[in-house]
Amino acid sequence: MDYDKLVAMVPYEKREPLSNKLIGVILGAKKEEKMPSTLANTFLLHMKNHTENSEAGLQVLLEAAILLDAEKTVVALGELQMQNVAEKFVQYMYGG
Amino acid sequence: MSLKFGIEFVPKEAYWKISAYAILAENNGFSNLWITDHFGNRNVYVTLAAAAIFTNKITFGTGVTNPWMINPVITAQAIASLDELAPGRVVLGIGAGDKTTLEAVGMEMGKPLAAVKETIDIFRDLMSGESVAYQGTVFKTAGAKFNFKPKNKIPVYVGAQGPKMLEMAGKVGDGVLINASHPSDIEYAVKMANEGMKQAGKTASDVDIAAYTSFSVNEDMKKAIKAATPVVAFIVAGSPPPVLEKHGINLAKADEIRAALKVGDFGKALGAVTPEMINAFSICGTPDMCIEKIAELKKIGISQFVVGSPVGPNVKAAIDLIGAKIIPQFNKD
Repeated sequence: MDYDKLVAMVPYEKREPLSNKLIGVILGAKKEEKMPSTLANTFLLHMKNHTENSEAGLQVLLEAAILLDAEKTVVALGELQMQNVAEKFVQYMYGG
Repeated sequence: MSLKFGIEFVPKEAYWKISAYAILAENNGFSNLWITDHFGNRNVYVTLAAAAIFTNKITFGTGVTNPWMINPVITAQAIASLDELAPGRVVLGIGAGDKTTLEAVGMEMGKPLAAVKETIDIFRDLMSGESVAYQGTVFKTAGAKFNFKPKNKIPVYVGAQGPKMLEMAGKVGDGVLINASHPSDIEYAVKMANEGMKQAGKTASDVDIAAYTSFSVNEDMKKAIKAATPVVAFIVAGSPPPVLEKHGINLAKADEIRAALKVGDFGKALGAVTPEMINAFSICGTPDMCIEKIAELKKIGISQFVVGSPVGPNVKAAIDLIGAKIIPQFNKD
């Protein structure tokens, strides 16, 4: 999936609230074993360096959130009125 | 004097979740991170190593390890190695251990007081970098020495509940971890720790006295209580009758919880938890309710408040809430 294209659709002012919601989705996910350690370490490095709102950081957060709980990720995008990003993601996932 | 805030995590969750929570805690003003040590969960030192790498300033340590499962020299080796990963940010938390857990792996908990004291002695001697010949009643070493030089003096926190352990903790510890939540229990524990400090000629500023509580916060009081209920059920089931009676808890109700947990009937066990039990064995509620209870403990004489499991119905939201509403109330002076 082209996470860079998804992130490019996120308005700048929504980056911080989105990263906050995605971190919530990631940490609330039940199936933690689905998280690959390389992705987990990149996610933690962005959190440590406070770069989770950057384009690279949001790409990692989106990838992890989608992997761990795609449904809640779509809900989170919807809550921030980013249906366009959610729709694009659903298209990637399921076609159409 | 301001109050330090610590937070406890149980590594039944993966290293990356605990490390993320540690980063959030650090960003929200927590000064200490405590990771529990139980063989059924992930390894405490691996979890601490990950947290050390992904945090910048939080102080962290075992909360707590015990003298039995790991020989004191290996405990010292692990802590000294962690100190190389995050210099000056490591502490050792050591206590007598849990009888039920130790029995499960065929270990006897003989002479707990001596075992903890001797572990601390061996730990400190090894940290000096010298060869250690130690003749204790539980542990002996014959010239144990590290092949590397430990750099920093590592503070030792003693986890304690009983009067003798509390007294010893005050006497030899750099910190005391009081495993309780109710003001009357904390008051008694602080008194006993102060006795030990007095014997050693220490003053209040020499020892960090921490209340290691079961904690749950949420803007919705009912949700906070619901999250605390399972933890309280296990505390009640593991508490001896005198402790339960002290808090006016119906022993028959406690037996009911114990029996239900034994057969895995969690619904029945949780349903039998009463408001008295919640009040005796946890600090939970809305931020304002928690602030009031923490202020009472601060008045008694604690210098660190440890937010223990479950933290809240949603851990991330609870950490954010504590950082936004609770910690600032205690950093005013």
